[in-house]
Amino acid sequence: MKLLGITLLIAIGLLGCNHKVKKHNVRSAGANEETDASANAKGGGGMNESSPAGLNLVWKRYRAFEGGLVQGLSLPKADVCKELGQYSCIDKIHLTVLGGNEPYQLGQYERPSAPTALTPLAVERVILAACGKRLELDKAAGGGALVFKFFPLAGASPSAAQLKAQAGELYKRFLAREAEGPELDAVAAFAGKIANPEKAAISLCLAIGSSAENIFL
Amino acid sequence: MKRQEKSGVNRRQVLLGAGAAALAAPFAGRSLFAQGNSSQKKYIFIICAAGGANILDSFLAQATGPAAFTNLVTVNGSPFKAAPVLQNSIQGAIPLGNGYAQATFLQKFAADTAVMTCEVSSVNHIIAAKRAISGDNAFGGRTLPEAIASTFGKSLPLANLMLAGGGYALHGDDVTVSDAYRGQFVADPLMFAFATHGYKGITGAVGPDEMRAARELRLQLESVSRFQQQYKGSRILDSYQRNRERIVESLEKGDTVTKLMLLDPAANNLSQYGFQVSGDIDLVRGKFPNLATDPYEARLALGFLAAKSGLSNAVTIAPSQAPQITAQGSPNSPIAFDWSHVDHRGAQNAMWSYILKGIDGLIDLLKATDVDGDPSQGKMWDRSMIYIATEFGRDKVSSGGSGHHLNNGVVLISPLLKGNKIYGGVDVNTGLTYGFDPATGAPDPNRKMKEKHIYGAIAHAMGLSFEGRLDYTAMVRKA
Amino acid sequence: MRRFLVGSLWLSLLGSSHALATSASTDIFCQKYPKALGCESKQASCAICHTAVPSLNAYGDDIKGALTGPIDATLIGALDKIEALDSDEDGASNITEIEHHSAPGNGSIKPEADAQLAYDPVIAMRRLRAIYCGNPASYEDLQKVKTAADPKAILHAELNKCLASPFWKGEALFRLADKKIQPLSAIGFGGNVVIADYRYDYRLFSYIMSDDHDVRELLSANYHIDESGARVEGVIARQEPAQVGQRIVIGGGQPLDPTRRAGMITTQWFLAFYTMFAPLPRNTASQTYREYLGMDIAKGEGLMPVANEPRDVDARNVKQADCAVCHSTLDPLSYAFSTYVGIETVQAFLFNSNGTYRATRQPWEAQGQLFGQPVTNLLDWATKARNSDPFKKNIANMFFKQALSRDPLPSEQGEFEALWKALPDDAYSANKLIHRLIETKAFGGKRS
Repeated sequence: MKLLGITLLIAIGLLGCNHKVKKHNVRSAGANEETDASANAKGGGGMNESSPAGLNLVWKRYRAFEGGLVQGLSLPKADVCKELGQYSCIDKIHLTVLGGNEPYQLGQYERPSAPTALTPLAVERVILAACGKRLELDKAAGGGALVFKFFPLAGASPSAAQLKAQAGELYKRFLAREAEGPELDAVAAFAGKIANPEKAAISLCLAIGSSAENIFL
Repeated sequence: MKRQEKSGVNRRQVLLGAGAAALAAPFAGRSLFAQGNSSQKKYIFIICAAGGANILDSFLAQATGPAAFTNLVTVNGSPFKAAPVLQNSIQGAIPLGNGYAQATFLQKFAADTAVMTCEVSSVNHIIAAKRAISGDNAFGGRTLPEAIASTFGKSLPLANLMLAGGGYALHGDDVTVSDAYRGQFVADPLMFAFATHGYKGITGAVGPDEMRAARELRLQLESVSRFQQQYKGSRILDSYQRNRERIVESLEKGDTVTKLMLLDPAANNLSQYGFQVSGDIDLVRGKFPNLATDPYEARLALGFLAAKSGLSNAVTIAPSQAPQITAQGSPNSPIAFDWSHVDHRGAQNAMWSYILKGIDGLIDLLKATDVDGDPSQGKMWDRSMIYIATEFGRDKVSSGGSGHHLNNGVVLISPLLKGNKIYGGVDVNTGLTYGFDPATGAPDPNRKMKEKHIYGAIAHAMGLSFEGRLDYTAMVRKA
Repeated sequence: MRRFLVGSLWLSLLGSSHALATSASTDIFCQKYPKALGCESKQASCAICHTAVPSLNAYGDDIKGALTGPIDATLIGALDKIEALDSDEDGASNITEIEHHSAPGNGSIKPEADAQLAYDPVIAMRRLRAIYCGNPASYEDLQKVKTAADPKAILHAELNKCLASPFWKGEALFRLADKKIQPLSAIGFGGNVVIADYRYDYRLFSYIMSDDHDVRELLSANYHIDESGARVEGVIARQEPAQVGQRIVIGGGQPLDPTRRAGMITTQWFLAFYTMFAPLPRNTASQTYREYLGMDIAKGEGLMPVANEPRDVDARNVKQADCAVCHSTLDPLSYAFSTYVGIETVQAFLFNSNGTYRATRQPWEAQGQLFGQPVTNLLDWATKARNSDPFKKNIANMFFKQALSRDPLPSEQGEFEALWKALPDDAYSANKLIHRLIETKAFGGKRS
């Protein structure tokens, strides 16, 4: 929101001001306070989102995030995610927490500089919706399934080998790389944890699709 | 004048709160997020009178001088004045205002209402709005919602809920504030609930057991990935993963998505997708009947529900800048109070009515609601502060357009304050306000109160101390 | 946030009777610490001492405490005294921070050992596809980069495609323009109270910032772009008729005489929205200064006080000390805008006068200054502005932040400086600047 103004003047007190921003005088609470510099040092955000050189990741914001799902899951853009079957997750409902801004109606003239507390939930919702749509299409396609094609989507629980093959496909599609040994080992250990093959497929899709490597560049 | 000698809230309160937090457990029928710290919880609702609300057009209205009103209303026993409801319009074409009388507000809430005069330091909307909530860095750069969230809203998943924009929504300059207490921006209050659950309502999605398994697998995959090793120590990555682990499941377990669901169930097929409308929808709709179409009412409703549900304790709410035009006209003016450039009196009058009517409903709800659903904790209102924040005042005129003016006053409403009182005064010849002695409350024509004084008075009333804060004994009601 | 600023370093080292800073203070600081942030062009940052003027940060506060007399006379001594302190308590002494392009008063910014970074074309490819195409690189895309003899050639070819895409021209550049234009649908085209049509602003911005056009046209273009993307010369009529009823329409099109145009800052929306009814359009001037030159007067940036200012030409009481500190710069910046109409009512309804030029509107047009030089009118103002270093730095910073969501780190200052200084060699092309940006280690660097 930005309002109009006639007289942009900044009245600045020349005398009597001695504000500080100094760590030692901003403590507001006792020993149990959770808000402190150490929390920020561990990634709590704060004013400066920068990390040391070489550690500054780039947030894959709403459009690229959506593009990854369109491309990775071979979905039409309109099918990626709609809340209540009608409201676009990307362009409307979760736009801000996915890194966008809506200037015209809401007066948001800047996008958020970093993911917010609710970004991970929005990410999960969008990934789940997209994975679910792909699953639905692949079920209908039978032998012509594009993504979920490494084990039958009805019947027995997928084996470790089947899950690893499916994971390998999803790594390529979401993260644009081969899955590595330790990752495939973790996937193999997932076998049997979810008996229903459809739900196992969706869960695998969510785990890989919403991993941090698909959120940051 | 006594200054605070040390930083920190009352240490005993903190320790008591910590002990309670450690011992208490959530239980059915109460907020999942009460976290046992209800005894220390306090709420601040910052209502942004965006655009420059002029105090001489509300409770410090004058019968004489450059900004004189005719037909001022005096409410029995109150030093405040109420400007009459005007019948202005937008450019002669669209009736302006909702008809709510300032006198109605005073009749209901004058006892808890205080007006504090001020002369702020900027008439730039963005800068002035930020200073209105940061007290011009009175507390090391920590904004009021950040300070209140981090002190009295510990462990709340969305302690600082931001239903406003512009300078009111900016982070403070205190780099030590954790992002857990930075404002969580809400773009659309009617749709906000969806973002509080990872999977509910998604066609063909999985259930809680599968979600848990999938999330565990994700953690395992991340922990062995080269990416994670390569970017270990990245602030943005660490923050994202900490947030993910911190609040995701707690919001889901608390069924936040239902508590905050404000969409009309029939019009949106909620049940088809497994959603339910908030159990409090009739409660909030009773006070905010236009919440489906008026963003200000929707924000008030969501802010209240977030506080009631134990999600948030610092809620910032602003009206829309777009006029909510119906066949009857518009209750608010274009660009909010800043429409004063075109029509000072019409904009101020309509916007004060608009803002106060919303607050009227909010206070009614807070007065009727137990803290964290626990009757033994008392009503939410007993721990609430409402601060009608604004950027600056307007030129002291009675008609036409008006520009920005540093001189002004703000309205605070809270049982924590000694209400029914004007702190400071007005020079009737100029329309300029002057300050007061914080200790005695005595008006002082040679004194100007700044942003830091507003911040300090609110902090004192809420029990928040910090280095350099004055004592506002005259303003604070003893418990 | 760090800025690269013109102007005086310390407006005032507040709260001290000795501490009213002058532009000489800036020179003293930069002469003593030529490596300090912002001093490479003898222009220091207010952020060294201030959080937001007038509030001092910890370093500014320590300087204030160390002054023993008038600032210009005792600053050197004060700076010496506090070199060994760690004002912001981030573990690095003040002198260490100053010598490493860091911020002695900001605990979240500290010097670091030079990280050993190697340029990784795969990282660059992943980023450029997402940022400039809105479509992440596929497995096959990355394999091509990994196996290429000249991966950078692939990157640049891919970037060319992205920068020509609808995503870049119709979405990403629009979002980059939001803060400059600040649209509001209620009072724009199709709104309830239409004062102007900001769609022209977006189209003009996108046009100038793409296809190797000269970015200086942001402050000089005398044409507009229609909905088909074609240039339109001359006055443009309202698209819908003036009306006063359930909707109020008094603006639209682009009524300003092309000979009076200066790109983005003379569109009907810009002038109507920021000037409104003001006799002296300070808001319009300060928005231009902030968004096109990177200096925010409200934060004490870019202050260059002009002698005998502010004169308070519109009787706003800005001579009082609290106001004069900024208005001595701001008012002279604003005079050139004063002959351009903001919003009118009857005139606008009848003649579409919002955002037009009227020589008789106010008498101050030729009395202004920019960067310490007199300006005769807004065209002169804009010419000086678009050929300045702050303009170039602002363009580079805009794209750096658009890509990486942050300011350059202290260790990246060299790369950043190279970006903006290359603009003249690149004929002021935004696209060419982006091609340089993707080759920086800030963009594609990886810890080795």
